[in-house]
Amino acid sequence: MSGIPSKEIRLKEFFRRLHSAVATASFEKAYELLCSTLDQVEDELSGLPNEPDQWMTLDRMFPPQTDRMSSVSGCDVKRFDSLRHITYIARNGAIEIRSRRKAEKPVIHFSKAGSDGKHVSDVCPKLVDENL
Amino acid sequence: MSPIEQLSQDLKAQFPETEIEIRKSDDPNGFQFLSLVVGDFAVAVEWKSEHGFGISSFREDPSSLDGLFDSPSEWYTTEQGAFHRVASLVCDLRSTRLQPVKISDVRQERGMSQEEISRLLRIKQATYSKLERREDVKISSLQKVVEAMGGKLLIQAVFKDTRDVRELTFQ
Repeated sequence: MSGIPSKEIRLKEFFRRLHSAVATASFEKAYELLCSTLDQVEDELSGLPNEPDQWMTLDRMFPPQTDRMSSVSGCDVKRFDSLRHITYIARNGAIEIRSRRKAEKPVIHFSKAGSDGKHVSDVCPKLVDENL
Repeated sequence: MSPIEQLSQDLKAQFPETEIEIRKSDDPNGFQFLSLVVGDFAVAVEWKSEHGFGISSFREDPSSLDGLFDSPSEWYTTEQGAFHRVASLVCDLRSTRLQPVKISDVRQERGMSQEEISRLLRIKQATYSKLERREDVKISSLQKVVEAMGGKLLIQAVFKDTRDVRELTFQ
């Protein structure tokens, strides 16, 4: 396992590729883009097999599954909960990854607009100030 | 009441000053989440029926990428076990990540007595009690103790210069 990039480096590469990808126009396409991009990065860089049923013990990053998904009330946005972060995907294809930890304002690790140019907070303004 | 709601209720009763939020996935068989915050210290719990309670705690800058996409540091099958563990983390305000712990602390967090462990190991309680107080323990003995607690012993060697973490085994 010597020489394998740290998880932080792989995560930044995931963000880089996701940012560079063509913006999508739907929740489904955005979710597919997020999952496939993370899988590709981990396939290339982690040295670990893509075995999602081993997610509890493998030190590989896996995309959020739909059993973690909930709806943001009153908005066309879905939310995926993980231990330390929240992934929002809007109906227009916008993606946002935020820290679960509270600061004065939500801490956004990554944000990508949908193909219409709108970000998650544009689709759901009440997410500007809170992680709902 | 779901197990995560029960955990939330028990924690609120024990630590009324903490902020506790729960969230459930839309899938009725999906994950449920609990977040507990005390100042800049946070405990995150996720529960699903076939996995139990996954727990991680952390005290760090919210802008840090450390721990994103990580799976929980620890798993507990019962609400009681999860409650005791979260309570100990809140009392001590310590992280679940790679913190050395005493065998006796782990045993107590799992709600087990010295009597129970010594019975499972088929040794006298006095003998087991001495083992917990030893500074140096045989790996084979530690392995038996951990297995008696329902766990699996993994030994890691961490190398700072390459960020390698290697799991060690012995012939």
